[in-house]
Amino acid sequence: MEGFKLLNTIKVERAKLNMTQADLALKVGVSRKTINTIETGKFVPSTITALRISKAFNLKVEDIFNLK
Amino acid sequence: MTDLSLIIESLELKRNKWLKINLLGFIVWDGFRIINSYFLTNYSLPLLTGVSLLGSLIWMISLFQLFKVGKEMKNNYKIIQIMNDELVKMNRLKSLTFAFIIVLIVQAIIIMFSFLYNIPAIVGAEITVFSAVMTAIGSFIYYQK
Repeated sequence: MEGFKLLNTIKVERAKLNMTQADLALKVGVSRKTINTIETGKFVPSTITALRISKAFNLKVEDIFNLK
Repeated sequence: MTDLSLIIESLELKRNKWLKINLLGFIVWDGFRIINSYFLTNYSLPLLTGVSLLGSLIWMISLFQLFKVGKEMKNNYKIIQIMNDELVKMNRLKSLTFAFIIVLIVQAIIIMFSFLYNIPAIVGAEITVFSAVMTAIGSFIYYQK
């Protein structure tokens, strides 16, 4: 979306659970590179992947992703 | 990292490495073949034919290796899913879109040159296919970096 940036707290949540990008990638069913690009904001994930990521942390999707 | 993560990382590295070699083989093979067949009209250089054959050999070996990578992940649904996740699919789509734009540009250039020179249809078609394949594979490798 023009003018909006999708921020996320994946790195923070991973650190809380002492989880690597590779561990999260396996849980979500994507590659480690995909998690890395989502985490750094280079790639906007699909709704399904966003939901899977939030499920991996047992959080709501809006707790992980928010628009700025 | 778990065993599965290591397997996926190694398969991704293999795929990218063999795609690069595949692209190199294709450029050498088809590029030199086109030059030898259509641009050196009165003679054919044995050296160029040899280089072209070497390129085709590299291309065939890399294609075989890419099939091997595919076979390695054949029986594991999770690996197939991860190796073809949404980022890979998006990169594939982006590279095909880019290749389509290149096809249009190459066609426009060939049409412009056809007003000045007599360009046989087969030459135009071969150059277009060569540019499209080269751009599609090359841009996919670039997006996957």
